[in-house]
Amino acid sequence: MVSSRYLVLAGLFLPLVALAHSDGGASGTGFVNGLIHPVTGLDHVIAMVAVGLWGAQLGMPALWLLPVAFPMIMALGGAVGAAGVPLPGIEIGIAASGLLLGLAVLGNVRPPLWVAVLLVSFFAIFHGHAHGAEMPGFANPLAFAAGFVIATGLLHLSGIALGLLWRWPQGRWVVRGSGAVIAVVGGWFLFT
Amino acid sequence: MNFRVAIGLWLAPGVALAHGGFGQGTPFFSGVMHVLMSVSVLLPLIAVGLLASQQGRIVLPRAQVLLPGSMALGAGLALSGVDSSVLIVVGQLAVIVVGVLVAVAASLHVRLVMALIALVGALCGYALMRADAPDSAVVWFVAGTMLGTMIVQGGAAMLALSARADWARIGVRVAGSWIAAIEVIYLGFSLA
Repeated sequence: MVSSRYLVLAGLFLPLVALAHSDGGASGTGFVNGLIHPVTGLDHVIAMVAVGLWGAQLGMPALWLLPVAFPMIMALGGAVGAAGVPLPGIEIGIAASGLLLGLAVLGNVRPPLWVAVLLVSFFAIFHGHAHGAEMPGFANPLAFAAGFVIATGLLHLSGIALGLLWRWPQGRWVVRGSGAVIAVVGGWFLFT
Repeated sequence: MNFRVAIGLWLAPGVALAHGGFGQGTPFFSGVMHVLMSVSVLLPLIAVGLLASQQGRIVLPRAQVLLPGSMALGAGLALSGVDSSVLIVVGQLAVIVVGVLVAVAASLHVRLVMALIALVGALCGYALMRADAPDSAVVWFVAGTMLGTMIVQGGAAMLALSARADWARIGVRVAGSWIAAIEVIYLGFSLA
């Protein structure tokens, strides 16, 4: 439990961001733009939520290992994409990630941990590459990357939060139902 | 009660720093603010603070001295006229390594941790001074960055040390993975 005195300290050290003249254009080139970027594509959103859902469904240590592995591998893909190195089948990989991860949640698939990490990491490369290649050249790169990674993490977290319903019998239907929805949306992206 | 104070601090209106610039005020203050307000400096220092806290109480006090000292050394290197983009890239790679080590909660030999901290500090100080060297009163500026470094690293380490609950320790590891991911994307941008 974090002591309240550290909350006081954290409050003291909070940076005071000057918002004067920020019309969205200036801030939009950096942190805010990065924060928004991952949530602008439904195909990305469902896959990242699915990672959190599946992790919560599998339980410890997958609950935190999958969301830790995903951004690191995604970042590698993002760096490759930003560097302009081409990768074939990106859209297929992204759509397939939604379909397969959704099916994994729906079917309560429980592979060995390393298989789950490998699968999630494999898909993370496609998501990262797509984002890296689309990143605006005018952005403040570091602030953009920070917003981008934090938004991705928060999407995982929302999946984990939903996935924690797995503890209750009725909640399992909600989790599996969410997996079904994700699989359908992923399939739609894949086959249309 | 402290919690209420923290909430009050967070809600208190901050002083707008627009147009203030780091150059205004004393060089010492400018040095402190450069560390506190710059993401490119904050990330390495937080990463080092988290790593030091994970390695136990032997490392922590040494890191609190070593990091600012090595930053000053790096600043001196930049001031002496050394101009190398390779050092910047090596610094980014070092931060990625530290972030990954935090994410996997690796238990390391004390000397190795110290060497890593010294490397990150020196290259961070070099990058900071290469980008934003003041025209005068350099010594005071560097002294300010050293104080800022101690504040950030110490604060991060103390927060991480207080993380006794399982979820809080996982939070520290997630923070490490995020820092590594951000730096990887930034590196991709830098090399593009």
